[in-house]
Amino acid sequence: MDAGPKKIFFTVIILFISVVTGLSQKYGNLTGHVINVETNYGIPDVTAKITELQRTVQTDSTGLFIFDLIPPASYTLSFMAPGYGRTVLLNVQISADKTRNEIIYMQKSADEDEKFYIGGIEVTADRELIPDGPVTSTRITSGEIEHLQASSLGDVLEFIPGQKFTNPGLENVKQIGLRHVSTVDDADRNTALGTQIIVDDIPISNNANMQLDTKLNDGANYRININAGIDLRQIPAENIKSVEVIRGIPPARYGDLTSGAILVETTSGYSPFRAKYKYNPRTNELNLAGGYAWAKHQINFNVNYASSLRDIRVQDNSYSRIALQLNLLSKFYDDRIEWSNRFYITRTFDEQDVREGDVNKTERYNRDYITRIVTKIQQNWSRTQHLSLTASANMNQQNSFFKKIASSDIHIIGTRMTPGVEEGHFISSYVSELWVKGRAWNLFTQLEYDDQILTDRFLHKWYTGVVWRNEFNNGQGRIFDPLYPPSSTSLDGDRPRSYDDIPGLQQLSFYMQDEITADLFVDFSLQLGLRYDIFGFKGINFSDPANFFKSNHGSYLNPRVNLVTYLGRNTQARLGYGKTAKTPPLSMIYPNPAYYDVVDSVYYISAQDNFSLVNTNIFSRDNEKIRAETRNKFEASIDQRFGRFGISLTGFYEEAHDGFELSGYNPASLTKYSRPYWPDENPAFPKDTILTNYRTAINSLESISRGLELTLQSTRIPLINTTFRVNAAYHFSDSWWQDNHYTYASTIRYDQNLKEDVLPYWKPISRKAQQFVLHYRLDTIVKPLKLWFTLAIQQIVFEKDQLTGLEDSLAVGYVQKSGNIVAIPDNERGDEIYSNLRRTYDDYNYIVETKPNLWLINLRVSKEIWKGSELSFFVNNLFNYRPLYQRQRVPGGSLSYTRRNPEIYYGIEFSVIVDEFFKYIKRF
Amino acid sequence: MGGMLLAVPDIEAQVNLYHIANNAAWLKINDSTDWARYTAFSENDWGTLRRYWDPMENHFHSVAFSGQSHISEDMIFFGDIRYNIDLRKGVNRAIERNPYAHDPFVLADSTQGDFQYLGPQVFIAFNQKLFESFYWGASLDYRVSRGLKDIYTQPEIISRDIRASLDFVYRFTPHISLGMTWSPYQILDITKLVFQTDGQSPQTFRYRGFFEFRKSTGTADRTASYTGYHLRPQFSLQYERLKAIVYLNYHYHWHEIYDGTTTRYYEGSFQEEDLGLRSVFRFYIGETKNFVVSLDYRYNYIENWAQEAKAELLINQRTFNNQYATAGVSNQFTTIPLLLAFEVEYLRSYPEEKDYLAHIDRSGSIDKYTLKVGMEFTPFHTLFLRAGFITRIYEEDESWDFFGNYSGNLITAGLGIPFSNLNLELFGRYGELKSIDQGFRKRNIFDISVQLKHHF
Repeated sequence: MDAGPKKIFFTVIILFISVVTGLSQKYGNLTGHVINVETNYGIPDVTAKITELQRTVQTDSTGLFIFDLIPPASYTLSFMAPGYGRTVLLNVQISADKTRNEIIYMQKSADEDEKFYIGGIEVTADRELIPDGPVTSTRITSGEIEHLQASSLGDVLEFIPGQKFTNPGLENVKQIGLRHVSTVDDADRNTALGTQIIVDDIPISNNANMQLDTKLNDGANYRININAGIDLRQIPAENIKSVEVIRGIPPARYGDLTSGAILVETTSGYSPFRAKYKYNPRTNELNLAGGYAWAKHQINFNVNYASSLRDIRVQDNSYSRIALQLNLLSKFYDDRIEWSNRFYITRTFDEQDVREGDVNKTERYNRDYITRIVTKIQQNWSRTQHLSLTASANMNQQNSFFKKIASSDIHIIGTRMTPGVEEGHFISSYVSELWVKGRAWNLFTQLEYDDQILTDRFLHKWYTGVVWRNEFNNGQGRIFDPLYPPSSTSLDGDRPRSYDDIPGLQQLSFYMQDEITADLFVDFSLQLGLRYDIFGFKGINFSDPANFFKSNHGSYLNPRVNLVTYLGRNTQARLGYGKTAKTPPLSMIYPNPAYYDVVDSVYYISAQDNFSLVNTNIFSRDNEKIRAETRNKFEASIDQRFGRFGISLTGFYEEAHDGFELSGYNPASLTKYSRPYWPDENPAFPKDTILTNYRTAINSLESISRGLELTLQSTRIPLINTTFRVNAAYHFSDSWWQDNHYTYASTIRYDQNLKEDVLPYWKPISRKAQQFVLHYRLDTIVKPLKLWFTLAIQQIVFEKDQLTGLEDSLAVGYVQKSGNIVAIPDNERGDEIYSNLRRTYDDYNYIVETKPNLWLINLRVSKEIWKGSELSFFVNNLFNYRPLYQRQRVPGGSLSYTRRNPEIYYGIEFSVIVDEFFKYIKRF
Repeated sequence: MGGMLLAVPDIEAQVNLYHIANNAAWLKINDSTDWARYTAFSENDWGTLRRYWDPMENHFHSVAFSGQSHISEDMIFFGDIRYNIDLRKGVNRAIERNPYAHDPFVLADSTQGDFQYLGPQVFIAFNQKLFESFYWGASLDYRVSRGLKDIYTQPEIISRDIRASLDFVYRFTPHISLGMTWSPYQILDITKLVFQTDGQSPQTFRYRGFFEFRKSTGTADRTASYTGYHLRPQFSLQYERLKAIVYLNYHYHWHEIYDGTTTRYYEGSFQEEDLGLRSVFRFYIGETKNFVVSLDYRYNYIENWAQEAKAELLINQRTFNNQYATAGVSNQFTTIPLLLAFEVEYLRSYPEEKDYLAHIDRSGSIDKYTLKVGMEFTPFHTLFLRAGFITRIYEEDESWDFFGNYSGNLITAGLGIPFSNLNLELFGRYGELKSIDQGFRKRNIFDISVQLKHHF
């Protein structure tokens, strides 16, 4: 980063601190009673909320509520209680040094929403009809997750606008990309990598994953996700209390992301002991959970076991997960200090034994052992002032194994770990065993201070913090016997590699955010955030203020702004702009080196009488200076509440820059030598040249996404006891590359015009895509039957994609046999001399693939059997509707079909609260 | 009590529109109480007395939760959710769930293997009184299962079955009612074939009739879809001493079969129409109405045809004339705590088949006679002991070559223990059916069930 933004950053920090500390503050108080209008008694457990301050309290047994230390201003108060619905008071004026008293009357209504339980499933019928804050996000409750019978976090994301419904299960890696339609693989991968998963305030990162070249992904099954987002299967759904998916501009607190953030809060504190068993054709899952609370202490645990078959015919090809979580929460000194400790242990086994009939006797496994310790201590100086320190250590011990009988014609390999010449080894059929053992560490520390300050008519809710992250991998690395490599051709070699020498990836971030609430012509809330990320932090350079922070992957100033204006009681408009940045993962920065074993000489008479000389060339593929990917996000929304319905319309535009990929082309011209005096290496006489290449990580990918998202939802309609929710999402994505990524010819050729062997290269062909996806969700709750019935319907109105870059068929340059790259000047690319280097595209490539309207219907039912127990059932793709689509973009005369919609899938679950079960038994 | 559903009056076997005509609009009148029921049962039969495609062993296990509850005074809801485990061992070649459906299309391979079908089933029924004499109801029966054969060709059979009904009842008087049921259904069976463990394509035999088939090598799935509906006008008499139901039934059935994973190749289609009449009467005789006489008569005529898809040639035609009559009596003695019951069933079916591909034209009757005797002894008011005996004779014309003639006896035993608002029921049945002509061909039957019902 140059000096300009840095100056701005520090100036803003200084101004900010001076503003928030230099102004005096005075407060008012608000108290009152919530009264049942029919009985005239106070109503306990009513949730009272000051909307602008996001502060809530519960009424006591007499209906009393108290808010203290309220900055003077005009506020909106809301009161919600089970069975009483919601009451809103507008323009409640709070004055400094005064206590305002309110009496609120509420009436019990059979029609109003009410939180209740089906077995142990908490059914929260209340849902805000329009967003209650400036950030565009989707909230998913524990009840919805349980009702869905999700096995992992990856299964619960169908609530997000634009996400297609999938079947639950653990058989394949699950990831998520937000606001993105699949274009090219690298863009899809970067979108998933840029979605930050945050569990209990701790970012879960895949940055230190080095499980490279494991041979575990075989095209049909994905067991490993390298250079991409974390595998969501590792996070059990059972213990999740809520999920918030931030699709819009994330608050400044969240960094190392581009697409968005998924905030997962797990259950903590008291909860009844509960056992649950889930079964569907592929997956079995058992969960035990419970918690105690005594005095100011709470302890909570969750034990989860799940196992998924990849193919129901093959028992020895499965993914299993054991996850344990233990939470300890304590409060000290009159609740002024809160200390929480969380321990997570997750063990996963992804196994494939030898399948009957497999002549190669292929075996694979991937075993992860994840341990995470999180401690958070928070000092509450006052109701509004908090200082918190969060620290976590996450270690993922990864063990991938691949075994196969490699069988090929006799060929020659080298085993040198350094460049040079050796006598080669003849191999043909052998058993190859490969282990990739990584130990990925993620250390995280965050110090944050937050407060509220009133300055004149402005209420400031602000926070500031600093984050340090260190991610490294000190696993044993790739282990195999070099004489029996997992793969080898006549030229490409393969060697073991230790991860000991791979440097760590450090991040240092500073952030602050001020949420300003005021009434200037209109009520508004403005969220101003600033985040400064230093990726690949290498220390401080005191001698050079322009480059004060030394970093490998750049320093990024990321402003984030969200504004919501309350245009009326039922109308609000939101605007947002933000910049985000994501560090490259270690596996991009330090991929495995490239080994080329050039066979200089060979003769072979028999297994006993043979000789060869192999010249080993090694190329490092490290790119320590690769920059972070950045993304600019813009969005505008309008929210309207009318009667029992609320509607939100959001338009967004996002542009991603410097997306990383492992496609940086590096030519390597290798020479074959004649060495007549071996074992003397010299003299060596060149006799041939081989042109090959190796790839390094580069910043190249550019993408845009834009779209419209509409959410229409209702409260419960009394007559039919049903809530409606419609999510409509139109998304468009386009990806292309900077001028450092090209498509290279597969083989070198002799060009008659240039009179030499050349390997031409062209601008690559990319893809743009758009889709329009609607979700209709009808939730019917029949309270007398303790029944929850959900019909979730997905309509894909259209899916379109087309190839881009076809208009440019001229060569951009060529590689000479010596490895020299010749770039053709732009104005000469059409010259006749380069005519042989042009390539052509068949007409069918220009066809826009348009998939027509498609419906998918899922059904879910949860029913209480007796108090505390529940039986649930789901069927996805209720009618097993899987139409065929005939692909249009295929060569003339050929037919190609794809089957749409996931196949019919079903499952059941049963859960019981242990105490309630014994009470039920005792009744008889 | 010998598995009698007609002779013995029971809350679960009433002569009314709900039980006899499956009319959901009669749900509340049938049983106005709220209850929950937990059931587990296991039905097993095994032996060599079987048809060509049949398994050597059938083991059907199910666990179910059912409940009935009022939503309001005029609305009632019934729900049943169950999980079915259907094990079929030694299935001879057929790789479809119901090869003896009336259509001539059968998918087969070359091995005798075990199938395991697993899947849930949900049935819900709703009933509302709209006006003083007018009721409507609706029901939905949804079941899905996934079956897998354990050996070559290891097909996976996914079956999805949806049946619904829309039902009405108009009560002219408290005793005389008219009902109507329209009950559509849609079934989709997909048999998924896969490459074998050695990487080879499976070889299957796609039958069109019993003898004609074409060999197919590859992983082309078979999809069979079934659609149809029942239309059933009904008449009901509900007097104190007479309960009677008479209904007509029209059933239309359409069946299409196509092969291919990514392209559809139509194999053929099949249509069936079924017109029937059923009348059930139950008389309560004597001062205490303890002596009950019940009669059930059914007749239906079925006509169907099948055609191959390409040239739309007729390949198979069948008609069935089926008659079914049951008579039963039961008496609850007043002097001793004993209930005795007898039931006689007679089924006569007369199918005629023309298989144009195999050049077979056959017809002949199938007769089944069943006698049931049962008793229920109540030594205490909290204990019901039940026992029964069933004897059965089955005769078929030799042109059919299904089971051949057989006969057999079964015994049943049961137990009922009511306490508080709970009722526990146990039931068991065991017996053997034996070929009359070939004594070594036998089939054993063993069923057991346990049920706990909880009234609220």
